Amino acid sequence: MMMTQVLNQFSKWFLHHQSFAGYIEPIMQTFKPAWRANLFRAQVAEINELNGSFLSVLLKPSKHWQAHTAGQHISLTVEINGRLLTRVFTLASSPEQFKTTGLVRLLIKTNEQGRFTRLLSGALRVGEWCNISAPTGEFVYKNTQKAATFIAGGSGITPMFAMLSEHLNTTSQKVSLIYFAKATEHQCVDELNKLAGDFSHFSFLLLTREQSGDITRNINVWENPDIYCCGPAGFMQTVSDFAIKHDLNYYQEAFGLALPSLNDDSQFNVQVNSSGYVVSANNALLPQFEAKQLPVKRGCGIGICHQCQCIKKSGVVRNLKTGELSDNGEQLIQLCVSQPVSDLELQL
Amino acid sequence: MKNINFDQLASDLDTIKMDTLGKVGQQDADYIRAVVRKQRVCEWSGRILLMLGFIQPLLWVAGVLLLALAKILDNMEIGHNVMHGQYDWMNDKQLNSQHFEWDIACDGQSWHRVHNFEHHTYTNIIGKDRDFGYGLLRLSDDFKWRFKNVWQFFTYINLSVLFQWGVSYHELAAERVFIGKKKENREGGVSHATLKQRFFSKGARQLIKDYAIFPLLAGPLFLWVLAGNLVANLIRNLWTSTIIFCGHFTEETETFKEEDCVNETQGQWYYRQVLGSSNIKGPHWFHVLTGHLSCQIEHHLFPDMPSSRYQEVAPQVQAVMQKHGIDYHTGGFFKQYSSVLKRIIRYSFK
Repeated sequence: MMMTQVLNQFSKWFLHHQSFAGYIEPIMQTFKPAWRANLFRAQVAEINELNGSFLSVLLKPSKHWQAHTAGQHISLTVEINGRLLTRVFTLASSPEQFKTTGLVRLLIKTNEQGRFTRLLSGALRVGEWCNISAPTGEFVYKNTQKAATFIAGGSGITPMFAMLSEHLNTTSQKVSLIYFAKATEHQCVDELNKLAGDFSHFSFLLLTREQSGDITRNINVWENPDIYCCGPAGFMQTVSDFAIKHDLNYYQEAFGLALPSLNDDSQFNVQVNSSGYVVSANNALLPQFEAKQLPVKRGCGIGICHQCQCIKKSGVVRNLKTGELSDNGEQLIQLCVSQPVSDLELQL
Repeated sequence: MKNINFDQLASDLDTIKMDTLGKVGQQDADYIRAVVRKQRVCEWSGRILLMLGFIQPLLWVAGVLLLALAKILDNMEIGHNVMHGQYDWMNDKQLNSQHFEWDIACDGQSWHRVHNFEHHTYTNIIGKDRDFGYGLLRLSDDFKWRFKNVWQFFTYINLSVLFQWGVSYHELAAERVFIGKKKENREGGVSHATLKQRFFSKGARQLIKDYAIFPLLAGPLFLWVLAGNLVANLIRNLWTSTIIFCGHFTEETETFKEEDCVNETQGQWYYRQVLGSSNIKGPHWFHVLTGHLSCQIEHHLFPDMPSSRYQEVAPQVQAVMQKHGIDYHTGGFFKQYSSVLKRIIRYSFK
């Protein structure tokens, strides 16, 4: 520990890198593929295409990676054609499974238009290396002494798999899962059947939005269950309103992004260093930030000098020079040529 | 200006740019990481060999050369290009223009701020681009002759020998920060106190590293290592200075007046970048050692294109210039460098 600190300080002062690991990274990579400072390595153990354009990926994290709590997510970094692309995914396997097999599972909905998931099955071949972060997230099973109802929409099922397989044997309360997906796209139904066979206090419903109308109809309010919800924004809003109305404990996890079609006067919320602002799509971000007196650096104003560059943590911008849309994940963007296309989170 | 179809010129060059950027990918990422790897190997084998000079002085010489090579790779091909944002698309935290720092006295972020903006936007515009002559040398008739210009050849030699400190002082715009000279249009968002602090902090760390820490770590071989570091820094200074002078100060490179560049179109901006720069021909390893500043014209046209692509686009750019009847300044190293020396001497006199 002491040694690491000394080396890191030495690197900061004299080797011009924030950490010694960062300095030796390219050397280490010749022995250990994808070795990166501040990230864990993971090797692809298995990858399968599932129905409804889902990928199931089994990863073997390196030995220093500390097991997650069921329901938490990691960020997955994959080098695709020279670019390090990062996305956040919830682990769809339990810590118990990690302890016994050394593997974690991701269930990833692939998107033909996506810039990341579309390329994943090509980039993540068995035996290839990628990076994962330490697990984070607050969406975990809170109280095993109470009945619980899990409500999942689409790929919102992933944290539920982790929580159910981890906790069903630690609770005797009634646990139900209401799982919405398109008709043929319910994932891992075999596993759910097996859980229902093993644990009589667990039951589940597979539904589609079209067939059931009101998504809260199957919540048994008289059991006074804690509600755990994960799905698209509007979906969760409905469930959340319902839970508040009936005075039920409510926990949710947001994911994904609904991309609106570009309309020049659309307004977006921008989170800059954790304060919120509203910007319009009718101008680049830089002049709008200047008008709001945010601490931005203006350089050439035409996308040459990279002085106004900042880290985009999430959201999509259009590069006005090339007309290209950015990724949704973490990236460097030049504010002077970036037009907002979605809500954004930036770090200045 | 000559009768040139600037819109066509802009579209020809934009086509080259978009085609090339479309090809950028794994190959370029692997390239820059391989250069970083070579830099690390040179640096550490160099530092170790410096300590073996007592066995055989030739080992010390090899150590000096390797360390100088490491510094040159770090400053030129890696540092300069990474800080231009050429490799930002990789999203690699170690190769990112916002955080990169190099093995040279000049504070990287101060350089990043001034160089990319002043020099690359206002290339060779007298009064705007402070890199033209660095405020020390008279290199065109745009500047009034002064008596100190008589010995400017020796000023140039001194600048080359101490180049890293010259760059550091210059990018800080020290005459403003320390002496208080005012010039509008260049007040950055960074306070003078911060600039000063970064100047001294970075400079001191470089001095401590090369002339205290590593010599002390060598114990009884203190002097071998100290002298080795000194010579390696000198070699790096001479090399970088020489290459950089060849980029903008050959006899044929042109200068521009501020009023000529008001409301410049993209095509006119491209035109000025080409006339204000000159290339050096050479083999691949030579281009790498110059940080691809040997492709200065391409670098100025497309400052954020990965350096790994400059050799590939150079013939395409040259063909476009030929088509439009625009001069494309290039030549071998000795031709270009002697041209620079002539220019320095020529403008020593009225």
